[in-house]
Amino acid sequence: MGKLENRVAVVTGGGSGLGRGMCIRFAAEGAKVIIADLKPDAAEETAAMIREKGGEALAVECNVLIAESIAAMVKTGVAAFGKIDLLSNNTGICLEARNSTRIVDLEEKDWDFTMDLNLKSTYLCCKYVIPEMIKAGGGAIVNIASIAGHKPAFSAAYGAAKAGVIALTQSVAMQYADDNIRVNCICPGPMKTPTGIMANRLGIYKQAQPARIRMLERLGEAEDIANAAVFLLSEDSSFITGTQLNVDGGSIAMTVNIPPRQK
Amino acid sequence: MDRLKGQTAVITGAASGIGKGIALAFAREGAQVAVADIDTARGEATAQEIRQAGGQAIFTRTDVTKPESVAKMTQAVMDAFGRITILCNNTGDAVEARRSIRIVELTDSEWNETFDLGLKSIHNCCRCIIPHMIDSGGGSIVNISSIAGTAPAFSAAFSAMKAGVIAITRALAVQYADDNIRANCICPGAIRTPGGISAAKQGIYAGINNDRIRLIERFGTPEDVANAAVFLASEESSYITATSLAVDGGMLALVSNIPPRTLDSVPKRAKRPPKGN
Ligand SMILES: NC(=O)c1ccc[n+]([C@@H]2O[C@H](COP(=O)([O-])OP(=O)(O)OC[C@H]3O[C@@H](n4cnc5c(N)ncnc54)[C@H](O)[C@@H]3O)[C@@H](O)[C@H]2O)c1
Ligand SMILES: NC(=O)c1ccc[n+]([C@@H]2O[C@H](COP(=O)([O-])OP(=O)(O)OC[C@H]3O[C@@H](n4cnc5c(N)ncnc54)[C@H](O)[C@@H]3O)[C@@H](O)[C@H]2O)c1
Repeated sequence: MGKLENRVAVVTGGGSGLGRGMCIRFAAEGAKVIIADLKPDAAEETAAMIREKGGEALAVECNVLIAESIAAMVKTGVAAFGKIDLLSNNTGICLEARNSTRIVDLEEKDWDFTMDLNLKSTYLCCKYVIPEMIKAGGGAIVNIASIAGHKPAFSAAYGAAKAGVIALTQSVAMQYADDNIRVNCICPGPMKTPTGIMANRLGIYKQAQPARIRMLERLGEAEDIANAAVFLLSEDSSFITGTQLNVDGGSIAMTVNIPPRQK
Repeated sequence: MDRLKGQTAVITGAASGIGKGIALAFAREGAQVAVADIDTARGEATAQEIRQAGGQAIFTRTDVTKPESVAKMTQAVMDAFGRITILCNNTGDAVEARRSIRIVELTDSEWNETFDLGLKSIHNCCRCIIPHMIDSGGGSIVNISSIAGTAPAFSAAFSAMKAGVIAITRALAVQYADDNIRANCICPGAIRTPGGISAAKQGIYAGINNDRIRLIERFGTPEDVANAAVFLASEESSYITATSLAVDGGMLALVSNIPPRTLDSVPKRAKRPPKGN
């Protein structure tokens, strides 16, 4: 028995990186997956990967910045699978990492886009998916924030947007607790996704010590996030709501050097 | 399920409550389990229950506050299973909650008791067990803290001790990262155990709002904590270290009232399925 048997999940940005990893794992745990991505080809590719392994998936072209597009995606998903009870709000981007932009040089349109793709998208998807969850008798939401949302990060807009995701997670957990909907978020650290590797290369994770920025000496994999998301969406976490889980190889806890061993 | 197959786990305080729940869950997931507790009758019963369900378990009578006792326990586990890869430090008691004592009334011995059982025990166990984890190629440490360690709580010694558990967890994660040992902790909220119920009765959890202290309207169960412990002990969390996970029904997140619904833009709620209490 999979941990998400008989569930229907929406994953935004499921065409790449962490989103794709979640789609594949959710399906392996028995969920039917609605892959909502701006890029239909990418979403279709994820769906094909799921179907190849015998899972059920539906790729839906969706722009999470546009309410009508989300409403249509929800309608298509419900028409295909009958309900929605799980949601992963995963779209997000850190534009500032590209040129190590400081706030004085940050263009207003880049600020807006960062807020919209990381945060407003979460609001809009909740707005259209939660009513379906209530109809289904409850559900669970996992938002993908970032460690940048609760520890000093170089990128100002991104950090502010992700802190917003954490706060929104707690508020929505409160608003719909009585509807049997749990809401949690995951704070990934440096991940091995196309975007993550680029950000890493630009040094945005650099801390006290350039040589050693996290306790576990590897980049996280999409699978690491997917495991945590399965836990937070499954009944295994039925007493967990309004909280955040760091999946970061210990990078935010790393405030000191690890001295060489004497003996 | 076999999420902990091939692992050997020591769980302290595993004769009762949360520790027992963790021991049962670890065994269910395929781990060999050592029940380390001071209570022989209930400790043996826990080990027996695991064996009856087809799992592998031993009981070793241990006083975690005593280094010699912990050393003997470690030897007994090595003799029985030959390795230790998971350590769950679970002992702890909110001594103050029993009588709602403030710091002026807190006695020296109550202070010491609190720290010995909850924090010094971690030193005792880690000192003996980490070398064996390193020999086995690595492992995972799961410490049981409390939301009292991160949020204002009534009990002074207990919350200071539990904050210490969070801090020591991070330090362990740093110190042994290169030995492939991860360390994380769980911060439970109000859990239905003998210890938890007596604390709740004393009203130590009453928040801003007496009738609504958590988002999920039930006590947590030892299984709720055990599910999180399995996740943190297993390879599923192999990129997670030095962090803490709240299993509190949203108690920490509840800082305001939940007003009654006035707008009717949401569909009629399906009946909430019964779960816990
Ligand atoms: N990769 C990391 O190191 C890292 C670290 C911390 C947090 N995160 C967060 O994890 C999440 C996923 O990151 P990733 O690295 O996997 O991203 P990614 O860039 O690999 O994938 C993002 C996906 O979202 C889709 N998308 C973009 N705009 C969209 C829109 N308007 N509507 C619908 N879909 C859209 C893209 O087509 C793409 O498939 C983001 O929220 C990111 O901030 C990533
Ligand atoms: N129950 C809750 O609501 C709650 C909430 C937050 C944190 N916690 C923490 O979870 C942990 C377990 O709590 P519980 O409620 O399951 O406790 P419990 O009282 O039900 O069980 C504690 C166990 O520890 C054993 N023990 C006591 N002294 C010992 C010693 N010196 N050496 C070895 N074993 C000893 C007891 O025999 C008993 O089996 C504690 O650290 C507690 O602080 C519990």
